[in-house]
Amino acid sequence: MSSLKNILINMVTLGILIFAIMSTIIIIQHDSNLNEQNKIINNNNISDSFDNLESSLDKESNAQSSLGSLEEVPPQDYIGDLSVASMVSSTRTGKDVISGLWSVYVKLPMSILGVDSLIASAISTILLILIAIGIWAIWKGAIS
Amino acid sequence: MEGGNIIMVNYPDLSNLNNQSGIGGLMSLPNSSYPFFWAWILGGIWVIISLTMYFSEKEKIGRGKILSSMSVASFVIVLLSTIGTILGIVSVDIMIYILVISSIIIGIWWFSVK
Repeated sequence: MSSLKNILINMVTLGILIFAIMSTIIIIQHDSNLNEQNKIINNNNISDSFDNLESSLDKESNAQSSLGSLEEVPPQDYIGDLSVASMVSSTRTGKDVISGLWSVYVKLPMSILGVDSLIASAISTILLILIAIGIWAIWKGAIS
Repeated sequence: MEGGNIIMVNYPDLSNLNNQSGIGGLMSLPNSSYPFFWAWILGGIWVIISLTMYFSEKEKIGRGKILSSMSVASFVIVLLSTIGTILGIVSVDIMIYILVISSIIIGIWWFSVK
């Protein structure tokens, strides 16, 4: 049985791999001037999970605005405000990564394979309860 | 209807063929009689690549891993289906089916690797 560390590392690397594949597809389709209706990013299943994540991970504009605000504000003021803002931003990105992975691995296959919404909700609930119990068991030392 | 979902497909006919349609127009012609023509062709290519890699590995090393061969073939099929959407022979709904099934195979392989 794999350890929890290996499972987490596998999940993270697999998530990066899947997003790299999707990013490659989107870039290829965008660069080839494909019709908007034939682009994968315009499909509801993909755009719900990937578009929000892409905008969240796009840090260029955020970094530019942070640089602008840093240059405008005197160094003795608002230092705490800047640190809190950056922490909230990274937390939001982490939340979007987790919800994006959840959408890609759980919601998207269920939607594509035609699973009923009631069954999908039941499976999601069972998975979430199992995750919560697993975290509790690890926290209590029942599982190494 | 396929698996409970409605799949939107292109139904080109001979009127789409002219001197501007190019290779994409010619290749999408079989979709007019059967919309999943290129999906089955891609599935056949996936089987051929998987089995070729598996038996090649088995012959060279002595043992093969079918899941590894299947996942590498899935990468190829995702790339081919992307090219198919650019040429207009694979609809975006079939492309998403291919992407999801390939992701599941790649995920199972990824977690099976020690």
